[in-house]
Amino acid sequence: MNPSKKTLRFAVVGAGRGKTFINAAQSSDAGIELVAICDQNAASLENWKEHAGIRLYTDYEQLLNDPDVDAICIATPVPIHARQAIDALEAGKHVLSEVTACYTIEEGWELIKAVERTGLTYMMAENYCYIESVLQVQNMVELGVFGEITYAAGSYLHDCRNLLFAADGGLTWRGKLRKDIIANSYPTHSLGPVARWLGVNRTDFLESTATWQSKSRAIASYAQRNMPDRADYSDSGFWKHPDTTSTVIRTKNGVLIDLRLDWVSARPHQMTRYELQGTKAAFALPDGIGAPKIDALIWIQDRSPTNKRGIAEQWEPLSNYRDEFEHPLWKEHRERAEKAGHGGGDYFVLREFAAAIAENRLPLIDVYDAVTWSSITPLSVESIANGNAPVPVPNFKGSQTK
Amino acid sequence: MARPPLIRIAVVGAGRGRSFIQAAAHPGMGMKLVAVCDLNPAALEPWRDSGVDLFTDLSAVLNDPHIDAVCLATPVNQHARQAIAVLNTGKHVLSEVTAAFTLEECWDLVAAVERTGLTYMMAENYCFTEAALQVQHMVELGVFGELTYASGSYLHDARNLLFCPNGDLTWRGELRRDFGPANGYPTHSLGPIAQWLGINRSDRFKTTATWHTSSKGIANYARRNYPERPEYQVPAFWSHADSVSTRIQTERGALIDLRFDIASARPHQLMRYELQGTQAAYALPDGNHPAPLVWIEGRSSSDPRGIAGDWEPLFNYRDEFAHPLWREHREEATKCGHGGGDFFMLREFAAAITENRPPLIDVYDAVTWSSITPLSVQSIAANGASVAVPDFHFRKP
Repeated sequence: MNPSKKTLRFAVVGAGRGKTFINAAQSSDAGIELVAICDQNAASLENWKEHAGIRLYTDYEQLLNDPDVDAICIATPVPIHARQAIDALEAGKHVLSEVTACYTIEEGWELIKAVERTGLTYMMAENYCYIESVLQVQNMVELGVFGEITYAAGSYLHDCRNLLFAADGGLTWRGKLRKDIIANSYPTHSLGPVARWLGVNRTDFLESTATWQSKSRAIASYAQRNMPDRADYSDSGFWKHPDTTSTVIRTKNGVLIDLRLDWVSARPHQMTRYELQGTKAAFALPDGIGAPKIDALIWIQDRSPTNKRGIAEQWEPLSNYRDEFEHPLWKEHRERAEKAGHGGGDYFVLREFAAAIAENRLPLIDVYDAVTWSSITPLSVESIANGNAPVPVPNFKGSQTK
Repeated sequence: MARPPLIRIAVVGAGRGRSFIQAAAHPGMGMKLVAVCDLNPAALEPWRDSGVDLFTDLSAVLNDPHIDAVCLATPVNQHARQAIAVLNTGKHVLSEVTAAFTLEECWDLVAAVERTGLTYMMAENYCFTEAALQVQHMVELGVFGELTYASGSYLHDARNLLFCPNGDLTWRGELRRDFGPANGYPTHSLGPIAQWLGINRSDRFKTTATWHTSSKGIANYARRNYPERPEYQVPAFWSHADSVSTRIQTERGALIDLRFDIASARPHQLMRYELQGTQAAYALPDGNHPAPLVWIEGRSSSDPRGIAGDWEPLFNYRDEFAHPLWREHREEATKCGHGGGDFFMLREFAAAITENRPPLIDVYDAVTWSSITPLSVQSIAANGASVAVPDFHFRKP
């Protein structure tokens, strides 16, 4: 018997962001069947009424009590991910959680304990780890092309101020968060791929981190322009969230990681901006900057152009090395992945989640990765509150390896 | 009105000094090159029949009463002591970057300038590039709104400069061996940013911290190029970190990120900048390619709520926002070296002397920007903790 043939009965919580998971699940060849959708707002379930066989819930607890659901995809507001994931695990369901996994260190530990106690599969849906160039770099790192890694950087720069306000002028959950939190509040898109390249929680560990913040001006400036009737929003003192944060992390192996988060400043977005430096190669993804747009770039010792002393002269497109270093996942699934949206991310995430359950193994982005990457948010709160002091990163994997 | 007399300038350090010498000779600069000094007599050969005095000893320059000003283009860790010596003999100083290597030197340099009343300028040519000055002009005209963030990177694989042809270490090599992990060359990335933010004018640096990588790059280079020198191939031989990353917070709440890497194998990006204001953003991804970019609220593409569309070339706005210096002197400046930087620096230095006013990059700017080096040493020693940046306008505490 091939256990992977068993169909995974899959439910999505949060019909808004959940839509792409729903699409990916419906078109999946990974043995996933969409059986239920849950949203506390009944109106967002309207479109699904005519879909036979999909059960609709407005109450999360009722969904958890549905015995014919094997796995839950949590696509709800970030601050409730951890609690909902723990509840789902305790109800015997596998969990695929949208980013980020948790908002406090305590939640992180609870989540880990829940996964260890139940033995169920938990995966964080960090789709940026599956971007084609990210995975090609991963493959090249594993093949030793980069030599020893010394430095990496990731930036998530995305003006999302329009998502902070509801149609009636009230604040969305995102808006409420910006009002109250001083933090690197969304670290996993920039850190996820970097952590995978460095082998974090495998061959290296995050050791200490600190975060610096700018003042808060951009949201007030946006409100002045777009919501002139809300004088409170136009006061920058109303918004605690800094316009930008800059986070540094040092690993046990001495690698330095720079992260930047800016989701409110007036600027063109650069959501997937990365750098990776090894002793033998360097990678740069400038992300959509320049005219014509610059592709992912690579320089490799003994292959890319150098002067006669071996000093690097110019970048090459990463795609020059696709034939040689294309990641096996992309080699095999390019067509289907490209069809599924988010640069293939959702397709690969769902496929990996189903495979981990079927094969009863840890998924590629397991609960230790999820909590480690997400912990940068509470650790940034602590660092900023202490004058940008370095703070140790807990070894969340320690509870398992001990 | 009589034209002011020509400023008689001596250049110390004939290597890097060459482009200063070229710019000084420009008619209309108000300068006359009268001496070139270098420890190495061979380096003086090109000027053998040029009619200028040639010295191999700095003290000969100091004692020459026919020299008004000295341009220091010597190894970086000698700049402050040499500048103080020059000031003490009554001569003005144009110092190559950086100005000082320790906080003690910073304070001593400020005291020497205040005591002598002479002109001191730091030659941070990156502040005078066309893009940096156009951005500066746009900031001053309010196009950026309130500034919240800036970043600058100096990424330049300069490992070949650490070794002499015979395999011995140059002064740069000795520095990388001995000085320890530091942001050892902060002013190219920080200078333009400090000008944009009005540091030492309307804002000041409050705190800074630096974190560093391990040291791998130089040993790796030596293994390939100097196989006969086994000591170079041990990473621990080099106290220099491959890459450092520095943060600075300003009194008015802006955040600055700096990165410095001269030892990693990668194509160079010497001029990588970002500037973020409430109403505009600037990005220079890599010196020349692609060209500098800007996005301006209400002008560049956006959706109806003002969420940004795409970048535009900065020079789309050249007609409207070109800096007055570039508007007036484009042709002469582009003929001189370093993207016009050397032309504008020497011109500003001469003007400051003639008009008896502080130059655009005065001693307070020079030591404030350069102090990031010793402050990075302090921060790294304290495991990446933030340290206070002194205000060099006040007497040493």
